Amino acid sequence: MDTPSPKVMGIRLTTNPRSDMWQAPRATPEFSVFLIGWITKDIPVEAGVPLQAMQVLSESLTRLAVVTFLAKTPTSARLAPNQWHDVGGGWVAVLTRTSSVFSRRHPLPLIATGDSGVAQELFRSSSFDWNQQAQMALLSEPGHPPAIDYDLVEKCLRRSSLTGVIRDLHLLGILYPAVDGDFAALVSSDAGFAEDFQRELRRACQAAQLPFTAISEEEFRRTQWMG
Amino acid sequence: MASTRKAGPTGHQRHDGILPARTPGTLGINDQGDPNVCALPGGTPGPAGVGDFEPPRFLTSASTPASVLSPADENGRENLEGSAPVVGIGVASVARIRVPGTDYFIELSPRNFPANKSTSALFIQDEAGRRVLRLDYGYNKSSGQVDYHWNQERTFADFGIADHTVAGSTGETLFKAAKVFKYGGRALLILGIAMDAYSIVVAKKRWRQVARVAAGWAGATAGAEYLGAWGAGFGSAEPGGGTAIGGIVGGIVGGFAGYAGASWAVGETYDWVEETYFAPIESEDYSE
Repeated sequence: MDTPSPKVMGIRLTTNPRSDMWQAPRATPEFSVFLIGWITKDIPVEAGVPLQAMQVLSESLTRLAVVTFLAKTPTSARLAPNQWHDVGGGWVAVLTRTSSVFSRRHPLPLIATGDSGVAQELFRSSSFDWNQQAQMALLSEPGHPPAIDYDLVEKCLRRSSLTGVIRDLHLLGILYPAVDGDFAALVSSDAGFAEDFQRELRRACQAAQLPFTAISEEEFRRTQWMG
Repeated sequence: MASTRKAGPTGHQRHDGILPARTPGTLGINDQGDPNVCALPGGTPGPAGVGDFEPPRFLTSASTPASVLSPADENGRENLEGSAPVVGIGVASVARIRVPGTDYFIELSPRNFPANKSTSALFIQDEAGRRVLRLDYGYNKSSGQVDYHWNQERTFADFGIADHTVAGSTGETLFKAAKVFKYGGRALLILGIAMDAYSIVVAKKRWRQVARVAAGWAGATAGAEYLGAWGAGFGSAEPGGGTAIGGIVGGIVGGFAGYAGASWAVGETYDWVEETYFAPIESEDYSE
């Protein structure tokens, strides 16, 4: 039986964290990184992003972009591979590549959506576990799903050559789980998008009556996140 | 100067009826060259100082002790004792050890793609990786420190360990041991494959050796899984860490014993079958 989601007491954000302990991509001159954390009232027994944090994050993202993430759907197995298929206001695709003797290539099922409720699934997918950092969200221009390519999406997942991947897939940014999935890291090479995201996150927090603060990395590190 | 003969007067050693290597008279009668008597060895072959003064070996007509066979002769009796610990540990490091009475497995890699990203060393998880208890090292949001801790999803009811529970010094030891076991075990697995392949190549009785090696690997896998599961059940007196320690230790012991036992049994069976002859039964004429 799943335990109730812990109550969120606030959302905090720091820009371009330098420490490796966050297990987030390191900012470069080509892209910036926002690290986002949530304070909970109690110490949760179960791993996972609290419901309120999921809601404010997915609302902020879907207001600005199409969110594409890894998740299996019941129809995934029957789809023609490597192309988008329209499904009720969103899109699904399965990227495949031939495995070689030395490397096994897993199929990558994707869901692209502009719906904040659907986007929350990125934090819940058991096949691509956010808490074990096996998940990501590609953020692209609204109205249509992003260009996709197995190698580029796999690079994205492995967090390698991010500048090139963001450029080649024409992305606005990528959201990654940071350490233990307890934080989210937004990578963006578009300064305007990063600004807009911070504004939308603040707005979503206000709507949910959650305090939102942007702080330095040192303050972020000293934050008591639980209890 | 070195000698292969003991110092002291000759003719005073008693050997309870065993004749000396050399005796007066014709060579081959009542001495080491006579096949009908037991005689002491003379000067030992090879360099002086190596294997000198060893007691005589009593050879019977039907068996030749392995210790006196040349390396080429020994191939037919190739022993695999050296492979057993190597393969046993190697197989245990990749075995899926079930926790008895549950659908959890003790493993050293995550089930979620991509596997190489995980900072955890030890996983107790179900088939789909949906429910997982893992021993992790990194920033702990609960303690505010970088430490060894448990992370869990949907396993609290089974192990009673909450997410972010600090694992302490036992957890640290277990984490490091699991890392060494994972990579060391895989290295031993490759070494075991090489050792066994070589043993087949040089074996005189090649099919016997193939059978022994195949049985050894199958035995190691079965042993690691069976004894590992038993160990996990035993260790579950201390859920989580105890489960993992019991499972891994049981897996190693089971892998070793399974390999040694199965390869020995198949070797003995092969020899028995090979040395058993069936004489045709004379047919009786019932025509009358």
